[in-house]
Amino acid sequence: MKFNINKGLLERGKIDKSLIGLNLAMTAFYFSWWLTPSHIDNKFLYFLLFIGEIYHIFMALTFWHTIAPGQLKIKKVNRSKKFLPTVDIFITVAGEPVEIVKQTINKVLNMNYPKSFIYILNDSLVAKKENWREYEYLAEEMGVFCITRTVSGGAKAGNINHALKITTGKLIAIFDADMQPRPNFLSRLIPYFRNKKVGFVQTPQYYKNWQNNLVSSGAWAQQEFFFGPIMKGKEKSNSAFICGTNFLIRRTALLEAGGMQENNIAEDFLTSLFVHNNGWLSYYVNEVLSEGLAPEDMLSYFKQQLRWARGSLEIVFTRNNPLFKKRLSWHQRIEYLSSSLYYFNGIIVLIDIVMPLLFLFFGIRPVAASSTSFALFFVPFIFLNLYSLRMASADRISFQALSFTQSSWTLQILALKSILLKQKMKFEVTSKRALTGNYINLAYPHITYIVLAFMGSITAVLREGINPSVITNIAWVLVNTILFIPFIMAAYKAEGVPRPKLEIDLATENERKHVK
Amino acid sequence: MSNKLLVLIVLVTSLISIYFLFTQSIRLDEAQSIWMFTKSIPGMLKLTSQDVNLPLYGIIMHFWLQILGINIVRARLLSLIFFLITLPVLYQLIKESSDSDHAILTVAFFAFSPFILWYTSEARTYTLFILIACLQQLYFLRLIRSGGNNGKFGYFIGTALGFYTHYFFIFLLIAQIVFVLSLRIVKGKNKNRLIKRHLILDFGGLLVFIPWIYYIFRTGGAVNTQPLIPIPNSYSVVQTFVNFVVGFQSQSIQAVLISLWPLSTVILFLMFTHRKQKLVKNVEYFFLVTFLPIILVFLISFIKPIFLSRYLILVTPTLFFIIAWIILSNSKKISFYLSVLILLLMFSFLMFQNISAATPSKENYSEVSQYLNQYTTPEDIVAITAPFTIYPIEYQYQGEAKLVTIPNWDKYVEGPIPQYNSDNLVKQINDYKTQYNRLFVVFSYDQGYENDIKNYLDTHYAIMGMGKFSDSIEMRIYKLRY
Repeated sequence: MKFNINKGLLERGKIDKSLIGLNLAMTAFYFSWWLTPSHIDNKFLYFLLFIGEIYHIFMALTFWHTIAPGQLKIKKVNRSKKFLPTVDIFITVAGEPVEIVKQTINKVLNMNYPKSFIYILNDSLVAKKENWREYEYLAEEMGVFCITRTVSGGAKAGNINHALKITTGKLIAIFDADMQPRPNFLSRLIPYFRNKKVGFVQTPQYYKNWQNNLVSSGAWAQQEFFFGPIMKGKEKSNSAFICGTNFLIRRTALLEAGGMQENNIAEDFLTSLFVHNNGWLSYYVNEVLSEGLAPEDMLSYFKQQLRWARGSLEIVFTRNNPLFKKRLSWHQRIEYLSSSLYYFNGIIVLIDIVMPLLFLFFGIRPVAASSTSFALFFVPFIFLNLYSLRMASADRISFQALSFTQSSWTLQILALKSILLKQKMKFEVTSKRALTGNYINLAYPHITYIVLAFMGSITAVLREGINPSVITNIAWVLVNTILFIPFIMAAYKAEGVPRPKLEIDLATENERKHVK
Repeated sequence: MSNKLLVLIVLVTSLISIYFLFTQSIRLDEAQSIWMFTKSIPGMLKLTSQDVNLPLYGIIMHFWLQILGINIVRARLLSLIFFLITLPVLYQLIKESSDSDHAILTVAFFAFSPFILWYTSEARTYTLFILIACLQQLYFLRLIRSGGNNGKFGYFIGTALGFYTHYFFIFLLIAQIVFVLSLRIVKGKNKNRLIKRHLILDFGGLLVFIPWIYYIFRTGGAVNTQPLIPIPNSYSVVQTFVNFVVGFQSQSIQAVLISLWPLSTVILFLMFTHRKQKLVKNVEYFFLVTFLPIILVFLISFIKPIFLSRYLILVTPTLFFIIAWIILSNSKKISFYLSVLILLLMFSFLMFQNISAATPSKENYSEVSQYLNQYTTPEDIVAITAPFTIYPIEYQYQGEAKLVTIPNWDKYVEGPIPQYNSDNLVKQINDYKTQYNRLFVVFSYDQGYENDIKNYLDTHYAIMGMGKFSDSIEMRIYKLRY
């Protein structure tokens, strides 16, 4: 039994049922600490923490549900070449650099699929981009079609729906402007559609520029986990969902769902929900079949995450809440709900990080018990959780991913606020260039926290001297500070980030991982 | 390079230990050990069977003292020798599971641990216990990795000796059985042969131990002089880990270090998120043998309190390996600085532990004896409570006053120490009133009646003086008659 970290990209780790059983037992053990009335000091604060713990435990349970061993029961995919349905390939653009789109078209052409039609879905005109005509020239130059919308509405979803009315292919492959498919993308995915119940097949979003700076590597660190164990785990209960790009979908399935959903900023997520609700099957192929660009500056990252957070969270508050979709199985409901509720994490993180500050400044304690009694329940719980997380991710979980997840509380709260106040949020395409400028302002809340933590620590020491409560709370703010540091550094370093220099060849990358 | 470093560690740590074993006061358990192990073999075995100890260390010590002569420094030297032999064994154990870098860092942490060095300069069984635990684990892992083919003899001998060294050896064995069974769950039926061989060897080790169990039952069981152990709580558990790394520090320093426990979550985050971690064979094993014994002992202690950090010393080699592994998962530069920082911290705590009078485990019986030698006369009487603490005082006491214990105990009479009773206390002191002028009472190892004795004496007799010799030893002098 080796603690092997040299696994390939996006592999799903092997998780034994006994480990899940152990985790469930440990979760129950940990939660029992919170159910002891003698541990309550300030009732309101304890209640807030308690709610947070219920959330954590719910998310942990859904995580075990996702990564539990098992496979989607499928017939063996027949890969004979006789099956050649017509495919429309959509490349969605809205003002991205033309040279990037050109590279993408080149890669699409390399797929050499006989019955395909390539379309640039040009939304640059309605997005009021000055270079909107350039895509038409490019299409002409490259020998592909260009569909330019003249009437706005529905953002990216509207763009795709508009093209759906004009095109006729039985299958539709959708790529963002920067997502360049590998030659085998179609040949690898099309055979799945022999099964007439298959609605769509999703593939990962690999960021070829992930090593460029702290933002791109942080973004990839999160993606890697999502496109590894999470999506593969979701496939098992037929709930792997569309991730906006790099997927192949059956036209009938998409039309039955009413096209891409225009009334949600995370159109892909909601569309998947509808497709599944209509009884279609979906697959997730965890092979890198296309390469794109990660956000390279904190502003782009922030906007991308904010859009996902807003779109996913919004579903919980509408009639599209997966719990109310009666045709979904319970497994599917759990998976969709956990994906949506993931973005509630922000408010819970806020509660957790504010508690030690309240003690340091005002001496208010939510908990009456000794902190070591909590340690006895908490440390084994977190130990087992992290161990399982590592196993599930085939040893590819990173500290940076944890840091970015923990530090995203600001944008997640912003997303929640925009939903509760019914504020409109514009769909913005993630920048394909590193934006210049200083985005340290996005980390101001985190820096403020660190300053407050420092001041609070001094206040508490002056008020109470050095005692176990003061030291423990200082230790907690220190933990939070350590978790925020990679995020702050990424925001700071974004200033003047150069254009991508390092173009990593995927084959070389895979090879390197295996050799290491 | 590794060998040179290993030699350097051995030299430095030997010098430190030799200094400590010459300069530290004799402790309660040491005095008791010397008293027991200098008896005839049958007498020693009988006393051992009535105590919580096992006979292997006693037998070795018996012959050691026969050859070298009875002296606390010579007795302690045996512990140092066991400790020094442990270093290359531990090196080999870790090297076979990882590489020489991990092995050398683990040995360095182990060798400079204030906790380990405390027991290196104490004439007790603990360094022998670690040595046997390391040897047994070396052969255990060879057995596992060869599918039950290699290391059988070493494992069997290690297990048998382990049974005869310390009762807590059983927890190591349980952790190993759990590990082997988990292999069966994860790897399937192809591990059946290994499980079978392992269990046969365990059973063989147990068979060798049966004569001792029989002897204990025949002589009446281990009930004689065990100190009162409190039921552990969460604080004790965290404190145990703090002890392992920084040794026995004053209560206030320990409280601060224990309160820093949330930082352990950062260590966990770092530990589980390093991608360039060195491959460690059977890494789960190292976690299991480090933490499972502590968990089991903690749980059992709610039925019968047995939770003492020194009893759990067997987990320290693997704990230090885990720490070394976490540190070496970083870049070379960070690993180097972290290693140096931790070693410097350990060294500082080591010095502080041995210099500070506030060190809780410090038992300055030596000064107590010297004080009594100097200030008592045949008209005085010295009463020691708890009774079993008479051993270290008696060892160095050469004064003219009579030594007694409260409650009154004759250690040459078979059977347990008499129970404390307030009526007996009154009677005992009244007897002394007619014969002696002053009563010197030495308080240490409170067995639950120390305050009762103090209250009675303080309210019935004039206090002539009082003082503390170390954190846990207090003396009060009373006027018995004018």
